[in-house]
Amino acid sequence: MTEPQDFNSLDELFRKTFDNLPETPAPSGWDRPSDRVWQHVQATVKPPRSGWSTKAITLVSALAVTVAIGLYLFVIRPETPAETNAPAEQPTVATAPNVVTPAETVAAIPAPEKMSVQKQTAAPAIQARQREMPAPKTSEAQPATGQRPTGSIPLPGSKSAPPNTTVLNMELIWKTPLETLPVLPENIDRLPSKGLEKY
Amino acid sequence: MQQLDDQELVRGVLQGKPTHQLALYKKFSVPMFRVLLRFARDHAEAEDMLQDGFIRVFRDMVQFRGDGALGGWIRRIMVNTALSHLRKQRDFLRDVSDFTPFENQFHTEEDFASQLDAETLMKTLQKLPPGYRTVFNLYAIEGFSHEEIADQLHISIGTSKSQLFKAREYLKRIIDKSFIL
Repeated sequence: MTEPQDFNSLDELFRKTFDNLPETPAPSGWDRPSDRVWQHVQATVKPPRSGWSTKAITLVSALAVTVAIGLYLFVIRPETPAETNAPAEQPTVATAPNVVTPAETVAAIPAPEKMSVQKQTAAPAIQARQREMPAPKTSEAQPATGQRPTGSIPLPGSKSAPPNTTVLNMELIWKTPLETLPVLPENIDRLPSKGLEKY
Repeated sequence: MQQLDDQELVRGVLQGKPTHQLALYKKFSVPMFRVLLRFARDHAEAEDMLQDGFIRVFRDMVQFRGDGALGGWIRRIMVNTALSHLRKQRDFLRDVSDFTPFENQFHTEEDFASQLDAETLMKTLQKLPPGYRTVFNLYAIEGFSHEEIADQLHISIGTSKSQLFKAREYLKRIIDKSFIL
């Protein structure tokens, strides 16, 4: 250790003493911090997470919820029009009086040809409606066929009128065979574009 | 672990690698602890300062531009951390006129010379009142000017000069007293 009188001033004594310390801590340990310092530093300064961060988890969750809601709405959307149409049809069913007899119901059913056309066009909608709605409670004598009369229901005691001209014309048109369509030539691709107007 | 240079340490710390954090701590903890011991009143307070200082170092490492030595940058953070701790003390700048606790520490010249090592000087410095100790540290050892000290400690330049004068007188009396005996 240098003699104290070698120092020009008190400041220099302290400065030189502290600047010339060896790199390794003293054997007595006076200049060595305890291990708890690093433990606290390490606990405070955590390395960045390599996995999912909170922000990423939140974003993915929000995306998943959005997709789930979108799928749900997409799935239930086709059923929505059937549900909305059902109340519009319901009054006609509800107006069906209990006084309708099976015989009158059968009489009100139109001709078989007409009936077949109507069945083809109306069958899916009717079946869907019947699935959603309970069958109307009519008289006990009404047959449980599950089909509703498609035409207007005649009043009790009235006689069925002969078909009018419109119905007769429709039957005539239905019985008339259709004209055959013109057959296109096989080499239609090679024909000039001008000649296509006649087809 | 292989000795890493400062650039590798900084890169690893910025990437959050625990091994590099530990290597940086091991490299600088002892010299920085010596700096903080001069500002603190005891070992425990210096450890608190060291802990806060290294947390700041890791947190602010992104601000290190590499145009100076890493050790110098860390030392500035440590000194600033020490000053933050000291500013919170209520009796930071109190005046002390009683020297009795420091008298008769060294009874002979041989005794003084044999004990005048860094540890002894450190303990002597630590027994100074906080204001004296801090101003003496900043001016005599860290090389601050009175303007800088006044700015750092939120005191006037006159107060800084006064605290330095008293600190020197304080230390001189301890040493002179030891030689006289």
